[in-house]
Amino acid sequence: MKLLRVISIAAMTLLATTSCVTATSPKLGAGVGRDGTIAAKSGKASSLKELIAMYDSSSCIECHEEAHEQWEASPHARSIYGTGRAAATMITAMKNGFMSWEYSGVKTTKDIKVEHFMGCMKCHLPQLADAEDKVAVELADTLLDWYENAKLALKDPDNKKAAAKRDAYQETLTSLNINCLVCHNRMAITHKWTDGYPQHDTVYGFNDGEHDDAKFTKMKRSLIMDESILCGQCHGMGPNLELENPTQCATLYGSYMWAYTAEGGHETCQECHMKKSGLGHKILSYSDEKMQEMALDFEVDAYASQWLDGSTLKPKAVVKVKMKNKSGHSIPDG
Amino acid sequence: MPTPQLMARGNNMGRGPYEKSSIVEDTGLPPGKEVEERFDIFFPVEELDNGGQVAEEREMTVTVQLWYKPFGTMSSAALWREWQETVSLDKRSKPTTYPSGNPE
Repeated sequence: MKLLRVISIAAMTLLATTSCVTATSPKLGAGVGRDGTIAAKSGKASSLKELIAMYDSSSCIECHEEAHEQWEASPHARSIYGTGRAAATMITAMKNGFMSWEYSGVKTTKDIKVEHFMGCMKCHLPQLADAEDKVAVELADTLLDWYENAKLALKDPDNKKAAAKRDAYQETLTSLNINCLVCHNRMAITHKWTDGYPQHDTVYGFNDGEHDDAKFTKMKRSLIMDESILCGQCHGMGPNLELENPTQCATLYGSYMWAYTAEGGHETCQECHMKKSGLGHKILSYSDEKMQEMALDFEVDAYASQWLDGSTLKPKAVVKVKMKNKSGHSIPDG
Repeated sequence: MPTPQLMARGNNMGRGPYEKSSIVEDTGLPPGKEVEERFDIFFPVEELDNGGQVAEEREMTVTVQLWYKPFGTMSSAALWREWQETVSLDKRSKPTTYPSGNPE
């Protein structure tokens, strides 16, 4: 009888908790129609300058200084340029890729359209989809001009003109990045027919309400802000089969779903790369000491043994290395 | 990291993302699973006049390093773990007169 009473109380508590959650849950629908997006309101960008301005998040800094500083030190802040290597790879993708393929329709940079770049820019600059094709041409020329002047400046350190041009192009390239508005607006809603489109005047995070900003006056909850799919949009599943000529860069979200969660894992990207690591918006991976420490168990055992080679005993050291990947995806991956 | 398949056909590896569309194999560490790698390292030996062999050194210092190589080379590589120990041929040996091996 006593046991029954305990079960009854537990059931009552569960019901009370459930109704409490229902009563306080925010309404779904983090945005409304496509016509309310940043791109729809401003029209497509017709230059790199316009594209940078369209997704300018500098007004966030005043209130979110710490997050900005963390982000500034992250690879997201240099998603096209990287350390220079990423930008060079984009050029390779142009020259060895769509500029050399027979049916791409591209012979010179003047033929480049936004769709040609999306193999890279789907993730390195998703907002390029909100620009006219001539912006793709401008981006291609900027990459090539940066590289040309970087080479000249490297060859002749006294070539100030080339160094200045290199720096100017580099500044443009680093201004094109994955900033606050990319994650907290443009990519904050994956299921747009269900939840609505991200709106031009709204930042998406964990709360609903007013937002103290001249341009982004509202806050709304993004239902995926703490879910792995937010990151999985770019740190993806393998080949981007939606493209006319599929590309493949990141495979991490595929590994996360089919090798980690399929085996019982349940942590999210954000839990490890932002919270437990203490990295916040810096969101690093293999290069960060804390992430390295969290990533795996590593154990080595070594002993002397022998190998019988015909009639000769050959002494040897046997070294056994055990590793257990504790992350939510294959290592390495990206 | 999966070894990407060139244009999703054959067994060649694609280099740039623009030419990768599948995987040939995945040599990465799978999440949640223990992987063991075994290495057998022979002691260098000297040839003796009688045709026999003897180890040049009785000890071998083994260093194991785990590197993360984002580009497959040491460029931008990060050292994740390092382990070192000396393996001795005499460490656990006991005196014996029993002839090992097959005498000629």
